[in-house]
Order: sequence, then structure tokens, then C-alpha cells
Amino acid sequence: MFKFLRIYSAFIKQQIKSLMEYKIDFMMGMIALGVNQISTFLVIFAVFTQIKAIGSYSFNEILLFYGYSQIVRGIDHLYNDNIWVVGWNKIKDGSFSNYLVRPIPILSHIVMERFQFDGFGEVLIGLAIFIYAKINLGIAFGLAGWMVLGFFFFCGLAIYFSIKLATAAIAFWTVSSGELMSVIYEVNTFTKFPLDIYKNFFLKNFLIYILPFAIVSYFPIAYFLRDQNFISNLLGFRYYHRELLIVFVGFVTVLFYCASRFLWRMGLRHYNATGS
Amino acid sequence: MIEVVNLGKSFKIYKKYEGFTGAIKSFFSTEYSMKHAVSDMNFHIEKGESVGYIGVNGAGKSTTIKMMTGILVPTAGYCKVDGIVPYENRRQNAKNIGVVFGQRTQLWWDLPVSESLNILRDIYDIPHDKFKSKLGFLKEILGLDEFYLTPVRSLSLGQRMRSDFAASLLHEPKVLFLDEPTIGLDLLVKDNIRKAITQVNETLGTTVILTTHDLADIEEICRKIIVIDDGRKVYEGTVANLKKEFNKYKLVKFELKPGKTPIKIEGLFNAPEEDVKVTLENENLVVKFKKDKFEISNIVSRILGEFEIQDIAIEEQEMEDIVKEIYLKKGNV
Repeated sequence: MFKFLRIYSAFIKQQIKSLMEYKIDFMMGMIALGVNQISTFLVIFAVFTQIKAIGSYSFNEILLFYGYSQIVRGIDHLYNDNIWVVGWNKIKDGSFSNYLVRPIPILSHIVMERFQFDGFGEVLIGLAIFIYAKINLGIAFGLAGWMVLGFFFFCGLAIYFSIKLATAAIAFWTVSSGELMSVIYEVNTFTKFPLDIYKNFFLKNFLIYILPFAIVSYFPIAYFLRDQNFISNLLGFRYYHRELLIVFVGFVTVLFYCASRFLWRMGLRHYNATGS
Repeated sequence: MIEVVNLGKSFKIYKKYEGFTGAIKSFFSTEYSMKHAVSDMNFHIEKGESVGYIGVNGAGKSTTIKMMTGILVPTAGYCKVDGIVPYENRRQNAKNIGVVFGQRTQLWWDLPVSESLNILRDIYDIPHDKFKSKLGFLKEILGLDEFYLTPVRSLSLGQRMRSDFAASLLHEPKVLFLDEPTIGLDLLVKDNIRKAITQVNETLGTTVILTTHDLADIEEICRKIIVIDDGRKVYEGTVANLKKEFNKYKLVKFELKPGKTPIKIEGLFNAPEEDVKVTLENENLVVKFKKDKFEISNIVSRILGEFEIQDIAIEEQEMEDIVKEIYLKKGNV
């Protein structure tokens, strides 16, 4: 772990150096992301000047979902961006082989090779919105609440990681899986808002059981905003404590993580190492 | 050091059809054939040996190297490098080996050579003082100083290859795999790299396995040679033996006097073409003959009696021709 951090920081230092070299590129990236974030925020704001609430959610509640989802997405964006290159190119052009001849775990190698500073945009704006909404709602989590949120947060990151890993692994069979990765990753857009406003049975269950993006931000925030009845309805059970949700989230996360690691391992054995 | 036993690798090749409608047809087709990139490969390499692994394009050289480096998992047999099965114990094996792919860099495109090597130091856990002395040695034999702080993407091919070569040796690997390390390089860099490989092999006792299409690489670096074709081994032995065994021919070149190009060159010797062959190359008359069938003096006197000759040169058959012969004969050696 210490070694991992040391190499990771060496890579980050180098990237900061090259960011200095390509100032304009970096500024453009930050501006583009900032505009993207602020425009989404303005859309929500505009909608809520017309109506008081969507479904059972008030403006500030919606913001809490939105802000939290952006923080998770941003952190994932920061540290786990190189896997995109694996899905798009590295398997196709054979440069993936480089990871296989080094004496460190492949996934840590992939992660530490690239730190995506663009992610800071999402994290900062997400954080600002989250804090703003939390103050306006006047809710307090308490120490236990924060710990639960921390656990949810970790699970959210693990879900992002697993989904990206599994879709990138498809490239071991199909040579390149960038498009598939994008399509599936973009489903995370649904996590910006509470899931039940979509009022779609299929979509809801799809996002809980098939592609569990619901675990990333919908469940965690609903846990703090809604009561026991709501939560047990959500899972399709009745009369359970809402703490069941914590177990459920942890369980699905572990399941997904293991499944994607398994797929990745199978892919590695299938890797054909194109090129001479 | 390296043990390869009944090693094989087969790929599924899905049947392809030509053209746009063909592409659609291929998309839905599930027909496939098996391509045996490597089959039933067996060889042994001792510690400190330098081995040339050669064959035509697509013969399966790279595939074998990739199995020995842990990149590919074989579909038959097994291989061991220093007692470790590479594709099962990938990380352990990676510590023992150094790999250079001539076609592709292993360094980071955006980083300067210096930083790439520093990161590799951390990846391989090389102690600082050891790293320093090793780096000094490599800088000297490869002349890295002139581009040490340049980003890899701005290096010329020769500089990049030298950097890649340095990167593969930092952690003092027991075995060095070189997959076409001199491809596309100019004569000076080729020479530099060959000398460096020889030095590493001789002074550090590093086992070297090298694939190449440039047989001069083999002659300068390797003592042993393995020739493969169509995924199978067709020859294994020392370079000296190969020459002795296959070097059955000698060449004599006669430079003709200007304007004296002969009209008839057939039937000069009363022997079948495989024993002696006369050809006309530019202004030269070239006689290739079997050493055990003819005396060189007979050949020369016969030609001198027939044509007006300006100069004579006697050559041993080149290694390239020998290997060409092996490739053409395939398994019948």
C-alpha cells in the first residue's frame, strides 16, 4: 500500500508538471466541465422556480441527491480514469501487455498511471451543492450517520469501479469496448435525481438489480431523508428496519465487485496480445 | 533457466467474408477455424546462454515470447522460467525478467526518460544506491545522457530503443527477452545495442533470448539458435554447428572484363544444378558449388579457360542463405 502511494504520487507529480506545460488545455477542460455542471444546476433551479416539488421531493432534497451523486462521480473520475483507455485502446493496440510484465498488480498499475484533475470540478461543485442543501434542509446525521454515509460512499465508488472494470473487460473478447463502456457509464445520469421521480417500474428495478447505480446515490440519500416504510417499500419487503438498507447496499456491492473481478480474470486469460 | 515443454497456443479465427455484405455475413457467422500459432514446442535454455529465436513473419516467435513473459496463457503444454510458470505466477516472474519489444515502447509517452526510469525503480523496488550504479553503467554503454531529460514521445527511434533497453535492465533481470530489438534502427544504433546486449550477457551472466529478422544480430550476439516455422521448431543448435551442417556450398565470383558478357553459361560443368550452379549477376559470373563435389581449383581453371576475367572473389555461403534454405525446406531438416 505504501509502495502503491509512492508510485502513485510520482505519477501525479509528473502529471502536474505536464499540466503546467499545457496550461491552455487544462484551463479549457476545467471551463468545459464547470459550464456543464453549472448549466445542469441552473436547469434544476429553473424548474423549481416554476414548481415547488417533484414527486415527493422538495427543491433542497433534489439538490442533496444531485450534490452527493456528483461527489461520488467526481472522486471516481479523479482516480479511476485510465480504465477508459484500457477499454478503448490498450487492448486493441496491444500496449496492455506492458502491465503484464511488471511485478505489481495490474489494476493498481492502471489506476496509478493517470490522475484526472478534471474530476475536481465535479467534486467541488457537488460538495458546494450538497452542503447548501444540507444546511437548508436542517438535517443532522450524527456520528453514526456520517459513518453510514462513509460506508455508502465507499460502496458507491466500488460500484462505479466494478461497472467500469466489467465493461472494459469485454474488450478482451471484442478488442475494444469503449462505446459499450460509455453507454453503460452514462446510465449514471439517472443517479443525479431520486429514482422514484421517474415512475417507471422497469427502470427502477434495472437500476437496483441489473446495473446497480441506485446504490451510488439514491439509496444513501433516501436513507437519510425517508422513513422505514419508504425504505422497505423500495426493496419490496415490508416491516423491516431501515438499517436493512445498509446490509443490502453492502451485499450488492460485494456481489458486483466480485462478479466484475471474475469477468476481468477470465478476460486476462483470454487476452490475445495483438501485434508482434 | 528456461524450460519449454510441449508448449502450444491456438487462437479461434472467425471466418471472414469479403466486402460490405461480407462484413455483415461475418458478423452473424459463427464459423471458425483454429489457428495454431505455436504447437508442440520443446526446448531448454541454460543459465547465461544467448539464444537467437528466428523464423519468418507469423511463425510464432512473438507468441512464444509472450507465453514465456506471462502475457499469454498457453493452450497446451507449459513453460517455466527460473522454475516459475510465468502465466500463473505473473508478478514473481516479472521480477526475474526484462522485456523489450522493438515495435512498442514500455516507457510512458509523456514522461522524460529520467522520470520513466525513476518510476520503474519504485515499481521494481530497487534500492537507491544500486539503482544509481546500475544507471551509471547503462548510461555509459547506451549513451543515454544526451536525451536523458527528453520526453519519450520526442525521442528518435534509436534513442527510444536505447531507453527501452535500459528500462528492461534496471532491476538486473535473470532473463532478458528481446523481441526484434533492432528493427528499423540505423547501423550505429544497431551496433550500440548489439554490443550492449553482448556485454550484459557476458559480464552479468544474463540469459538472453532474442527474436530478429536481421541475422547479423544473431551472429554477433548469439551462440545458440532456434529456428521455427509455422509454430514448430525446425532447427536447434549452435550457430557454429548450423554453419558447419548447412554450409555445403561455396561461392566464387568472377568479375568479367567490360564488354565481355558471355552469351552461354549453361552446361559449363557436367553436373546437375544442385551440385553446381552458374548465374550472371550484373557483370559478374557467380558459381555456387557443393564443397564435397568440386575442388575450387577445378572451378577456377574451367572458368578462366572459357572467359576473360578481371578479378576473382571466393565467399563462404552467408548465414542468410542457410536460414533461407531451412525456411524453404521447413520440417525436413
